[in-house]
Amino acid sequence: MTEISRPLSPELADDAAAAPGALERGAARLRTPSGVALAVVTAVYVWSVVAAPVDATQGVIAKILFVHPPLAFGGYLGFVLAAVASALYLWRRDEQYDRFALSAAEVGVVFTTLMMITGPIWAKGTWGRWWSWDPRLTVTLLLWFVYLAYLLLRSFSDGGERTARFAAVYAIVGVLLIPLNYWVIELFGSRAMHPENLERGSLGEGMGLPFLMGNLFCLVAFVHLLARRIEVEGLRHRAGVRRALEDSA
Amino acid sequence: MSYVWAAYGVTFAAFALYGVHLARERRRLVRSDAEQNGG
Repeated sequence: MTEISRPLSPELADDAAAAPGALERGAARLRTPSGVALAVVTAVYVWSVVAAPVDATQGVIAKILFVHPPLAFGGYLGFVLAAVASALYLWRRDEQYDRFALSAAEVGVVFTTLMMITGPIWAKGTWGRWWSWDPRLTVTLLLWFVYLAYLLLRSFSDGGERTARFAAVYAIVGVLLIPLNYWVIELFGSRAMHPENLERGSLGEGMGLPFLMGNLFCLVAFVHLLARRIEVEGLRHRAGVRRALEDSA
Repeated sequence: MSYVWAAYGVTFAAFALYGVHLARERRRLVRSDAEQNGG
């Protein structure tokens, strides 16, 4: 994302010489095991989806259930983690949390983008059209725009502390759209086109395993991609700090 | 072909592309870091 240019300070000089932070070390350790886990889970997931029974009413298009909601959960997880990390940053003023928030938000946007693609694919097959200004779809679109704007803000800013604080508050406020997105279907009731929230017993026979695997696949993919993204952000940060030191020398 | 398989294909492809992008970016930064340190 953005190059870093901050006023040089003794603390910054120490930062340049410091080893990666605890979050970045953890991310580096997770990279290989999560990658292996992802390969295994993907194979089981694909098998379970192919082997799952075809829905009597909707046909094979109902198998979108095993990918679209898990992608949504992955997106929400990214934004919630970004909000939590942002709150920690505002409290502790440790830049590791700011970098974690940015990484989590970006991975969350990836998942949400895929959710916005897979949903209309199902809608075209079921409703006969790609999009509807249904309450759930509209709030989800808003959520996506909010975090896209967050990433754009981080990209085009100077990367200073002021930007980090503003971005942190933005990420915390933006996450409030998630509970709204969940309850908007309850609020609108039968006027909403989007299927209702899943409850115990919602899934048909034979759908439990592929749905579980879909969620596990998205969780492991999320962890793996987030670990890689955190590593990259840490490396970019230290490269930026070194450049700032050289420029001032 | 049902639209649903397109959804799965797009998902897997997107994850793979994003993962490759991150891996390449990491390699670029590590190489740049090594060059900076004279390694």
